[in-house]
Amino acid sequence: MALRYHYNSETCRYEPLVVSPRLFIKRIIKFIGISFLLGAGGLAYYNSQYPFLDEVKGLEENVKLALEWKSIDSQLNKTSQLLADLENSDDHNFRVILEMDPLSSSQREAGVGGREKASAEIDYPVIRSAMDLSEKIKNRLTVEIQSMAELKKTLAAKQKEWASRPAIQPLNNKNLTHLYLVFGQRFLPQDGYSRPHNGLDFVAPFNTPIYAAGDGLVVYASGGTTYGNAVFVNHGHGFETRYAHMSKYIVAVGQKIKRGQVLGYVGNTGHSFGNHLHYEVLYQSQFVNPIYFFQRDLNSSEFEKLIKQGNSSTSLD
Amino acid sequence: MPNRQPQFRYNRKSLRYEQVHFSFWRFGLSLFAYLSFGFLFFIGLNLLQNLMIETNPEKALGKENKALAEYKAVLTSQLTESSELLGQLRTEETQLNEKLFEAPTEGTDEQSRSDFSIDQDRLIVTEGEPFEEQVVKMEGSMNLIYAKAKRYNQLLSDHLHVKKSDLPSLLNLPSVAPVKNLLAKNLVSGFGVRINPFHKGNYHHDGVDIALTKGTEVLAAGNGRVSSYSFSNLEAGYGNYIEIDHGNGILTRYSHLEKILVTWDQKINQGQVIGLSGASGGAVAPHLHYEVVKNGKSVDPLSYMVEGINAAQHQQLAIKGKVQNQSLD
Repeated sequence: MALRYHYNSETCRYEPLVVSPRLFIKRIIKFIGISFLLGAGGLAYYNSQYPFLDEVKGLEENVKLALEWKSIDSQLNKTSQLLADLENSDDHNFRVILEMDPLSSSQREAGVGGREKASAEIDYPVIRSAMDLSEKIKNRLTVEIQSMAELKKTLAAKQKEWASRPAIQPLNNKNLTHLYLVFGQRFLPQDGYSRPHNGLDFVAPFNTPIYAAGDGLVVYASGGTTYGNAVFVNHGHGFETRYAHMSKYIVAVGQKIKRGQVLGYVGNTGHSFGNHLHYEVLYQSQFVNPIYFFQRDLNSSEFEKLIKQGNSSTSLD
Repeated sequence: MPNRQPQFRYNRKSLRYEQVHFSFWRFGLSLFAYLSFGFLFFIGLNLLQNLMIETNPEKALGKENKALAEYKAVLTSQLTESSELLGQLRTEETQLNEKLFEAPTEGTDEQSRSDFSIDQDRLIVTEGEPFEEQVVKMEGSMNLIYAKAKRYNQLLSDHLHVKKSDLPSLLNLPSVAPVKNLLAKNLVSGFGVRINPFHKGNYHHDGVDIALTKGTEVLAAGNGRVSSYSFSNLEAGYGNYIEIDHGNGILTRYSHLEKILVTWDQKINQGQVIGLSGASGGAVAPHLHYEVVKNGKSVDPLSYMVEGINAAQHQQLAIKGKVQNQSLD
């Protein structure tokens, strides 16, 4: 910048303006002071309008975290809902069918009360409620896992029971010549008097295979009585079936048998007049009509499928 | 500006001292200098105060964020663990279902439902045809439906006119469900060929099985008279059962009851409690085996259940009833 002059009225001359170091420093201090005041004023205004930078940063992070927590919350709620569905199906589907009492809500949420102390230290309700929910889910899961194991065990036991129930006809329909459906008192022309008839008579050709009506244990396999060659099978749960007048039996006392397994063959031994199977069902030591214990309309391919299953799976036991 | 004395500058062209006047340019420059230095101070001071001072909200936020981040990690790990267990439980449930009913009942149920909803979606979102064309198309199909309905109506009115003498027997039809609030999930086995729970062979299941807890009230499906009932403690067959004659060759049967609350030839009103459900007879679980017999032949009871049930519920029942699963006998 070009030199500046000022007019000295005493000397009547233009004299150059000289900036002494002192003046220079003074000017700089003044400049800095004024800009500092400007900055400070700006800061004061800024602080009155906006939060501190760190606060802003914290808030941003907080918003981000809150969003993540929302997703965690929704996942927790979804898990809880799915679990509730499962519990519901457990209580109202499986437990009804398996004749078990549904679990009460206090049983389902076992141990929640004791654990609440752990989360009570947390100052933030969002975290506390989520932690509580997660804890609850964990406990409910534990209960449900136990319950599921229980259900499995009960079902296995039930299936064993169902498998042992006499449920099929001891002869294949295709071999059957005649089925006498007389149960109770019956007049026998050969004997000349009426005597109780405690089973059903299946007339079939000699050596037609006889099948076990359900899983069970052979408790009698012998000949020599009015039954002739006969096999008695104890099915447990109060059921016993008896197969009489066999030509021969191929099982032994104490043998475990499967439904559909061949026990022996149709014959004419004992108090019998012609080749037939005399079939009895006992429930709690009382003779009952065997007609209730098989479906007569079961078609032969289905029947043969069942027989095949019975004879192939014997080795498993 | 040290003094307010007029200042001069030497102009070399005119060889004269000329007074320096106030200039906006100079003023702006110095203002800019002040402001930019002021801004620098502002930034510096702001950073300084940020560094030196920790405000309460800042402290609280920091603490909260730290807690949130910490517990987020904890919860995420718990959540993965829980969902893993839940997944295992769900597969176990499916297995249990398959074992119990010999058919994945829940799965097919869900699938058919989702298929249905997809169909509904497809109706709304067609492949980007212009709106006008869609409307024309829709109008066409609506006219078709209208014509069809009209034809059917005529057909029905020609063939179906109710005689006054038929009215009482129509009113006696077993038109309600034999239990309060029949839910699709309780209809565990429908009418038709099913798997026998005892020997696992296929046989014709003459009614529907409704899973109920022991002691649930069983209702009469229609007006009628008790034509037969019997008690049986034998673990086979119907067990304790009631048969109601609704006239017109229609009978309903309620089997596997725990308790019978009616006697022979008693007049029964629709919805009357006739017994309590149980698991008597050849039942593997407590349930009601409900049959409708028309002229000596078993028919699907679901087709008679029309009252007190809406179309959606009926559809759900129909879907559930068609699953070829294992009956409870």
